[in-house]
Amino acid sequence: MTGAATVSNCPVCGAPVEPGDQFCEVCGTPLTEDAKALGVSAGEPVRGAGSAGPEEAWAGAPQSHSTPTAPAGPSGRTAPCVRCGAPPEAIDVDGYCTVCGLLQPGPRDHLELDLGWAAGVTDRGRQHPRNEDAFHLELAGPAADYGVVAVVCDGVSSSVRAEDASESAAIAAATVLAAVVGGAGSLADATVHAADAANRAVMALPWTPTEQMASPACTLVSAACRLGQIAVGWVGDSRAYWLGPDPADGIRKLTVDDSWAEAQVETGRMTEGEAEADPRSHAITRWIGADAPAIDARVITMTPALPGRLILCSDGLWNYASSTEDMAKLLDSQPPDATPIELARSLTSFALTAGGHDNITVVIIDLPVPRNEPTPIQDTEQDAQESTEQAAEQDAEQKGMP
Amino acid sequence: MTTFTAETYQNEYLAEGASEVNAVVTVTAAGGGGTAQPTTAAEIIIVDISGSMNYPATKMRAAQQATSAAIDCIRDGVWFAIIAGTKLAHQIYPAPGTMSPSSAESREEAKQAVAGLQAQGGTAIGAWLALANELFATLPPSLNHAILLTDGKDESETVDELDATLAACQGRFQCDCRGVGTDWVVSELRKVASALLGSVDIVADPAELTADFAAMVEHAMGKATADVALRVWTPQTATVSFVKQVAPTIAELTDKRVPVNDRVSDYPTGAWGDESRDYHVCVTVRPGAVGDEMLAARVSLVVDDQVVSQALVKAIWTDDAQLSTRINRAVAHYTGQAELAQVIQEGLEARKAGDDATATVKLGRAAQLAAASGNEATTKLLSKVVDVEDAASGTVRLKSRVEDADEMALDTRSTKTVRVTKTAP
Repeated sequence: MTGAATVSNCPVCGAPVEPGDQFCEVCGTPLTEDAKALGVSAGEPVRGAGSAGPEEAWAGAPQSHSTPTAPAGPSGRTAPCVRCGAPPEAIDVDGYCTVCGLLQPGPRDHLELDLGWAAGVTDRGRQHPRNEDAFHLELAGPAADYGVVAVVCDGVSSSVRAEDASESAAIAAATVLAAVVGGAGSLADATVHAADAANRAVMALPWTPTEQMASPACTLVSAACRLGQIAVGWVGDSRAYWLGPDPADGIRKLTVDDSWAEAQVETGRMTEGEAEADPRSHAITRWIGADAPAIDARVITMTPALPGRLILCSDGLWNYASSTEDMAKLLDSQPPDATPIELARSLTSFALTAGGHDNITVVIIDLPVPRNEPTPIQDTEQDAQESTEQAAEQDAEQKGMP
Repeated sequence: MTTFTAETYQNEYLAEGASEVNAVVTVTAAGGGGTAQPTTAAEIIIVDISGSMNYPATKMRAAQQATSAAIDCIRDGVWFAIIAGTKLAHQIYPAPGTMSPSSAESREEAKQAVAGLQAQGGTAIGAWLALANELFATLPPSLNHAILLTDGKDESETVDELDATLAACQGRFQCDCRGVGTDWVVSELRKVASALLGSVDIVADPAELTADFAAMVEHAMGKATADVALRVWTPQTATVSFVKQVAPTIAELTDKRVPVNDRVSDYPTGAWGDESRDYHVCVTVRPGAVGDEMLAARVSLVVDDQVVSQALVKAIWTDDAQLSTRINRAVAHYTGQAELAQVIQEGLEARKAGDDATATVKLGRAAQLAAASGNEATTKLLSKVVDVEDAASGTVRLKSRVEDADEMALDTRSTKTVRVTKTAP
């Protein structure tokens, strides 16, 4: 076979090609020398991360990738297959190598964002082929206000497009929160609105119903901070912890999982140990997505008197330190002078070493001493209409483990 | 315009080191309106008129009536011809070497020719099919369909001659085969039907021929898209273990593979109307590491060399036994249905060979599988060959007296499957 213009089938996927076609219409493989030299493809745009955030704040934003100079394949990749070494143009739009079939590492497999006093790390883990966790972290408002917004979402793996659900939700929620943190509105109200926005974003994702997979869905935990005030909101089983300046004070778990196990414990049907041992323990009772039973975020606000560390994480981390005591021990074992990015990396490594059974996401925010008059810690749980009884009644609508 | 959709049903999770990937791909064609343009369809009816058709004489008369009924069902404009078979092939309508467009007038002429048929001579199925192939070749590309009726063994030619003809006819036309009476050979007619992507069935009572013939022609007239192929891409280190249609009937496609290139092969599926069929694809891959995801196969539907729909078959390696040990319901169901067809055929063969012990075990397993999968039609056919004592455990006793027709009906219809309601694995 001398010239690509004479082939009748794509050499990569076997789809028929017309004489004169520059690219295979099915897998996007360049068919002519010209097309190969162009380094562009007729395929779909890159799916998933990289195009993620509207702002550079997102760790997967293009700044973390050098400008492609090598020819990119239909997937927009510039690296050869990690297993068989096939050239980048052999990677199809879905990210599979068209020679050996392996799904290539995605740009979201490991992402880090270091903003100094706030940082986040997300990792695919060792067992899942994709990272369906997503986080968004950005500074908002005047620097002197120490405004920051963080959102961690964990895609439900039994749902379609889980990785797109988590990413869309994180961006949508963070956009709402950033506008309020930079302004004067109520952080608690913004937190509820942010979860609504996340839900709308996930519901807007096009998807094809299948008998095997649920509609796109994810969890959400958010933090909005300004002038020493903190509002944390959540839907699902991603968590937030508060770590005071004195390790002797221990840590506080700010969230209550919307999970089957937690519902059993809260209603007194089971002890924590019994519930954890049940195969249903990780099924979540509330989530973000089209068929969610209720998406009103549960919100907790606080105005700590002393500086401290806010930790947001997905269950890929807390699975290995589920009880508050174990989490306290884990944090105690970390170097005391670790910066947020160092701590986020270290906790991620811990989860990977422990097995990395799920995607792992950790966001650490160091909140400084507030400039305003310190007030004692005041917690108000708002929007508590989602009572534990209701959560327990939702057993029938449980989702799979995120 | 017909649109095709393909959907995969599988448990993509594999245990560490596992290399076999199974998936059921459901292909659905819709929107074809159920009709081809008349001028692009062609129908040939082949009737056995060997001497045995006179014993009893009702058989020949029934074949003539059935052929007439089938002729009546050929839509206006469809090209057609009638072949009468002995040890030679005789074209009885229209003029030798031609086909005629269907009209009220041409159908009447054809029926008169059929009415004048006299039974005498031998049986050479290959020779009949060869003539049909020649006649179809006189037309532009069409939806070519034939019906073949015989009552006896293919004895006026060698097996090699028949095989050579089948090879020449493959891909040129589809052929539904019917055996009338009980003197024909199931395996022989099954070979013809399988090669020509058609069905095979027994019509034990000649009186039932008319309705069956009319139904076959109606069915053929409902096809809108010719020559649809299932195209399977696999990665370099993978091999296709098998591809078979599993609903509405079991039809092995593995040996019908037509290579497109190193990693891509086509498997012919014939003509499609508005219908849905299930395929079981089994691919052997090189195991990945835990956490790896691999595309094990890309299954597409190809019409006129254009990909019209595709489904992905994946493999994900995990050390979570809860995930990897689940068997997808569709895969499990059709694995059972394929085994059901196989144990029926093996059981009947053992019975014929006088090996009652093997026959009892095989047909017992068949009774168990048929009951468990809710395949009532097969359960009913089985009950005429064995006494089922306990379907759950597969305990059966061979009946001492079995009608030939019942045994042949069980054999020919063993490949009919029931569909599964597909849910999560």
